[in-house]
Amino acid sequence: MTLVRSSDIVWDIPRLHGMRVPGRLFASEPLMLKAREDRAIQQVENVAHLPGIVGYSMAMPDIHWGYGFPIGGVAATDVENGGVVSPGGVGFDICCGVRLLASSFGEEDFAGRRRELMAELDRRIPRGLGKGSIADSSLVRRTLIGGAATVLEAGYGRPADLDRCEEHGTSAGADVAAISARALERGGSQLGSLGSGNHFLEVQVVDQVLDGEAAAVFGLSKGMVVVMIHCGSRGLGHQTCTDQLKLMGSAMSRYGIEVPDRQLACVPVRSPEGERYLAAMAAASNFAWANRHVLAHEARKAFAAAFGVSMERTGMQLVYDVAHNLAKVERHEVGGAERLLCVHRKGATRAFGPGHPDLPEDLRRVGQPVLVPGSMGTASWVLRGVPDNPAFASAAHGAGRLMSRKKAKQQETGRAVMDGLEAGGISVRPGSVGLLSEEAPYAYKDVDEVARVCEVAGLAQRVARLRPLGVVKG
Amino acid sequence: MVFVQRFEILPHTADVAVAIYGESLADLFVNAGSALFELMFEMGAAPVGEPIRVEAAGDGIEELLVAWLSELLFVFEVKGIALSGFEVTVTNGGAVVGSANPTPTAELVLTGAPIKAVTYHDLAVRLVGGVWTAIVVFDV
Repeated sequence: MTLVRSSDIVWDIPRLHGMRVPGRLFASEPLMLKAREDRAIQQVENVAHLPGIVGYSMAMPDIHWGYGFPIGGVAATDVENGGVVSPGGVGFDICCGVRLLASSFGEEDFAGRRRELMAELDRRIPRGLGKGSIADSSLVRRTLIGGAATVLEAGYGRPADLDRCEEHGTSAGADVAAISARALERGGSQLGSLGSGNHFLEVQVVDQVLDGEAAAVFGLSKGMVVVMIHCGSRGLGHQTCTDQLKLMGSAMSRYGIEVPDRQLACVPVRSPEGERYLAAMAAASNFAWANRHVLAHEARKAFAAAFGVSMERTGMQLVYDVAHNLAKVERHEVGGAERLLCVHRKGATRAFGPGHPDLPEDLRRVGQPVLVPGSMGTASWVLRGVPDNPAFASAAHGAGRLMSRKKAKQQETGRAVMDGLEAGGISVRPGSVGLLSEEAPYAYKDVDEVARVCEVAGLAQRVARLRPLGVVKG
Repeated sequence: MVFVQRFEILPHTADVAVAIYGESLADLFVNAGSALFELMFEMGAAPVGEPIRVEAAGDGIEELLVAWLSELLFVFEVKGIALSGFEVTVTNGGAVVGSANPTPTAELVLTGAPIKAVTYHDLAVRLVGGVWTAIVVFDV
């Protein structure tokens, strides 16, 4: 495989061997080290084989080896010219994403109520294996169409929240019939739960503001305590992806499509199977928007209880909720002409720039908030969308994994990771102490470098850096 | 032939890749089921309940393996049980029928990240030197 360094932070893969477009990675030398060791770059090349792909098969600065697409992979296909949709470009955790809440509290307030707040969150936030959920299972089926609006009607959250959600918290085009009974059974007891793996709820403090104007518009200021939630569509999304991959794998031959990795199974967007996948994906997305909405409501209750104030007095306004595992039909300019594209973002965040009509009016001036969580013990970032993004309005979604789970566990025990974080002033309430080492900070790349490269590459601009104070880990 | 190793973990940065071995196809499916749960739990001393029946179907061996593991994951998540002591029959018609002993996951110690799905990435089932070998990448 040939990799050509086109600038400090742009690496190109020339078009070869059945690739329909070249590959392009946005990463600095340190961020490229691991990608060059494993098979992430090969996966960028594989994605370039998808029928109808336009521009480049791209990867964000947090690129790492996934399945099918690399994590951090972005690919857009031309919907009107045979472009395909691939569940492998979305992933099993459909609409996994991040939600950020502001608050009226500062770091000193947190210090005074640390024990009470972490106890409330520990008690209220379901996480890990089979630990229940917050919302009633009777809501699940309705969320598939209504998304966050459904749980809002049921008493979770505030009406203003919806304006600060991508898609207003409801993906259009969802079809309940595209969700199997098995998927409903898996998701039935999981509405309002974090799950496991790298999912978390974190209490953080804004420790740097780099763009005061955008921070003010987003509702953030230096020293403010905020809450970040990372989770997705749980078993319902996983089962939906499993179901759809099976259908698509058998349908591909009818369209004469061959791909270098079976996880890249795909069909034309404009086909019965393609439309059915998008309808199923939208329904699972709606479950995910609702899931994060319910968890945010519970976080507000936890703050209210710990600080002895009403929920209104917590000041916990929603900054934004953004997905990083979705395929979306959007209009973008390609070769001087506007085209209808199916933009796959697999571990990549949508990043609309200023003036985009899909942004709420108050955000339109500065661009969309882009949420980039780090690992436990390291910072997270809020960025903003910028004009002329070179990756179909996409940016990074996290720090990016550096080390395998096995290797991470060999390095330290979960207890040692927890003790280290606590000694550093970060309270940890894990779903499983033993598994903390799999998600240890040393298992991830430098998120500050990821955010910097996003800015240099013109993917998004840094607004504020968030430092963790307390982690509720899935 | 005495073949001891049932599975081994392969390098993967974000998810969990395994090579699974078996002296027969049935043995491969037994070891695949065992690997799935042993990657997550310390199963050794787990108290078990009455065996339950598990079955799956698929076109071709690779598809059948994905269907089998996906079925076990479904049972695991919906019933809150981990399985051990597999006994299976693989039919020529593309089906696997088996039984296994359940243990409530609440009674087990989690030793690995919960597995969420079975991917097709790098999926392969081959007979190599008389040993059935499968490569599977799990999403965690």
